[in-house]
Amino acid sequence: MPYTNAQATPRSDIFALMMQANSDFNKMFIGDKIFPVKTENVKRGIYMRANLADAQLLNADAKPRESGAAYQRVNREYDTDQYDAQEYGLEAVIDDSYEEEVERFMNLEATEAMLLERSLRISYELRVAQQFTSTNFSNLGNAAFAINPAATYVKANQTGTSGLCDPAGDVDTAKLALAKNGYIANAVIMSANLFYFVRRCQLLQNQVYGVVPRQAGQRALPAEEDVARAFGVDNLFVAKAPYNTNQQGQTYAGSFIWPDTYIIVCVVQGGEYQAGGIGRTIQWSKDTTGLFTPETYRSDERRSNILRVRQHTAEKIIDPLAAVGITTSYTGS
Amino acid sequence: MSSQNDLGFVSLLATTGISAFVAVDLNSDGSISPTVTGKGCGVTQEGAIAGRYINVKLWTAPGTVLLTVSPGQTVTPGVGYTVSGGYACATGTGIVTPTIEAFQAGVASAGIVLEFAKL
Repeated sequence: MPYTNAQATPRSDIFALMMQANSDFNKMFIGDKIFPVKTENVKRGIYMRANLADAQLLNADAKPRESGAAYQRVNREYDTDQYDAQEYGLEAVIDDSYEEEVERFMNLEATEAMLLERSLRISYELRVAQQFTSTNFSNLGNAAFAINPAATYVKANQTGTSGLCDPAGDVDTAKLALAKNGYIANAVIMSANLFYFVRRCQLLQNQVYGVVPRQAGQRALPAEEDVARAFGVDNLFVAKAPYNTNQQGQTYAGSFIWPDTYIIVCVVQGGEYQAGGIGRTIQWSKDTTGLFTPETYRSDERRSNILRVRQHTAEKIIDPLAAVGITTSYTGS
Repeated sequence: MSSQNDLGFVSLLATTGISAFVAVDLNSDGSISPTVTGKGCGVTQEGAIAGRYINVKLWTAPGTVLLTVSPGQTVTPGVGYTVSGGYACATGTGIVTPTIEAFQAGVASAGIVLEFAKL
């Protein structure tokens, strides 16, 4: 006799899956915005580089010439840099009978493909974020990446009468440092922790709303656009993507992928290398269909479809001088 | 019997509740239970209650294995460990020969599942 429950109505027609972490997750990632995708049809390659010093990019070398005399000639040296794309991937086993069992709740293949891509995105975001360290930039030729702020980014310096945290002032200092190298900064990158801290800084709020507050109840918190305008840059990238720092079997421990160590002021550009910008995600186009390539193949020994999502990329800092990091010393307290 | 499992993933009956990624051994009746000493026959790929069949990856199957680490055990990549009570643990006076090698680091806490290579 079929099971009946007077307290509940069996509904096999409901397509229902409650999934935690259900936000539009892709909107939280900034990796491919900071390092725009550039396709190459070779896996490893060389590109030319014109460095400030070797290529005499900002020298005032013109000399006067009188009739009959020779002109000054420049001795310009071009360097090269190289990239090597690496493949990353993850697979899931989708058993035929399990798929049929759960198909009344969810489309297992579509859900699994989305989750596999999310896992790859997290790994990709980590690879981009972990390059922004003072040591790495120094190794790449920018020993002056890190600069000191007006005041450390701690709660005691958010409000008061002196020694205040001045995010806009620090960004201006960073922009001047970039300008001396011939860059006009167009982007600021910060973690979610830093953004929610910065928008509560008294000096920044004064800049956005004015020193005399509006009537009580009308004060609002600056949004991302307000903060970008206060900084005088086109783009403010707030890195909100989290990930699990614990192992399987332990409880979930969420942490933000982007560290709170620096507020990065930089130039972000896409397209050909000559357009400049801090970096590119170089995608080997001959082996992929896009930044993420989903595939399935049959594993009939296990009566399963194997779903695979993969990437073949090199996350490359192409111009280490195009970024400056404001050392925040942020602790959360 | 005139058949064999060519892939290394078998379905075995659990007579007690068993968690995923625990090493199991065959009982005389063909059922499985978490091993007391030694590697046993394989590692469960899913958890199940008593009376259900569990997908078990045999130690002879290719590739690495995910295995639960013994409570309180710290795991360092490249170091050899052994299997006891169904879990990965350090070699000691009882079992001195390592049978698995760690791929990942793990903090000393109960229940974590890490990747190991078979030695």
